[in-house]
Amino acid sequence: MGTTIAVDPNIPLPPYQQITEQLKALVERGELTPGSVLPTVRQLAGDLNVAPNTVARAYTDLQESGWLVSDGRRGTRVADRVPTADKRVRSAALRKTAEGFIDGLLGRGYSTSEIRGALVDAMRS
Amino acid sequence: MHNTEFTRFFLAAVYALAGVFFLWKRPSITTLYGCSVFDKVCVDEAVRARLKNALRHRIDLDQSQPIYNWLFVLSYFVLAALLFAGAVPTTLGIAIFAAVNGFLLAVAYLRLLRKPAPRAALLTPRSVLGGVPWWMFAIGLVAALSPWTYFSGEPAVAVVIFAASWSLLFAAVGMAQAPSMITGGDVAVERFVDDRVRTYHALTLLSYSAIPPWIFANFDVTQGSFVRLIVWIITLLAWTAPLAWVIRIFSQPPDSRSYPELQRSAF
Repeated sequence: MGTTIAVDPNIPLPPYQQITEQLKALVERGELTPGSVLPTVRQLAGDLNVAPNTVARAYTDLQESGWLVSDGRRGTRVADRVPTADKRVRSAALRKTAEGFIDGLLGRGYSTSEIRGALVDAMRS
Repeated sequence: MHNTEFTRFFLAAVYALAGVFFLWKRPSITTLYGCSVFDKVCVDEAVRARLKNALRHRIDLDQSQPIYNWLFVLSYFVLAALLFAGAVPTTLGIAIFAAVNGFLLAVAYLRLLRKPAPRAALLTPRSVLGGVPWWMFAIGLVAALSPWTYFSGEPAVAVVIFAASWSLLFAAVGMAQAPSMITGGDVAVERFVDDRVRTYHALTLLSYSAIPPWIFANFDVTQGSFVRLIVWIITLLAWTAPLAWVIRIFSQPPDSRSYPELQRSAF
């Protein structure tokens, strides 16, 4: 619900590509789940202070490569089966997500052994 | 009643005093009056502190430029002078005043949309009307059309009030669809503040848009008492309902469906 992206004018990457890469990364990390509805081109362009064409191009590129699907009047959403990414990228994304999850639990006072035990139990069930 | 000397001098004095007030206090015309109350809606102290921070940042972003304050002062003094000298009929004077104020407010608010600020975009679709119920815009629309009921009697007044009301209504729609202004630092709280501020600005402007037609519904300018009564009721509803809605939404804590992250942090 609270996932954000930003466009940095100081990065030597065109704004549409920055949007594309960030959306892909969010899907990879599982922060954008299959079926998640994305904002309209107009809303996202306004929020990022970029031209609507920039967002439209990013959405079109991601639709053509199978990351997003357009549902006509229902808007644009994350595809149910996203393209399989490079194995190393997937592994790095999984590790980052796991680390974030574990950090959160450690911050709430759980010990590493408690977390390990709970994870093993959850995997078994 | 509106043509009496007393009304003319009374209004001239009121506008002169309003000019002095704006000159003395210099309030920002787009200030989030009353917004500070919604930092009290969470029971959790930590969340309240985060809300206060996000709100303070947003209030700084939403300050209007001083030029609008000076233009307000000027419009008050010019109108006071015109009324005092009897240069314009009282009703037309009030109508021009409403139009100038409406136009200034609309421009000041719409400029907020173009303010450069560090922006992050939420990947959550927003409602087209920014949390304002559609029927409130419908009542506002009817209220903004109401000056035509006295067009045949006082055409100049009707046209000026029509312009004032529509410029504010246009600004209200603009604010309802305004882009989010979040930095991405504390997304859960920033999103809550952004949503409420957008709704607050839109509702405030919607209420302002119905005030000029309502003021004239109090004068004997409409054709026939029944039409006048209907116009009076609709315009009254059009400016009071948005304010009531502001109180309603500001007194509610963040709901778990729209702001799940905030619920997790708060409780």
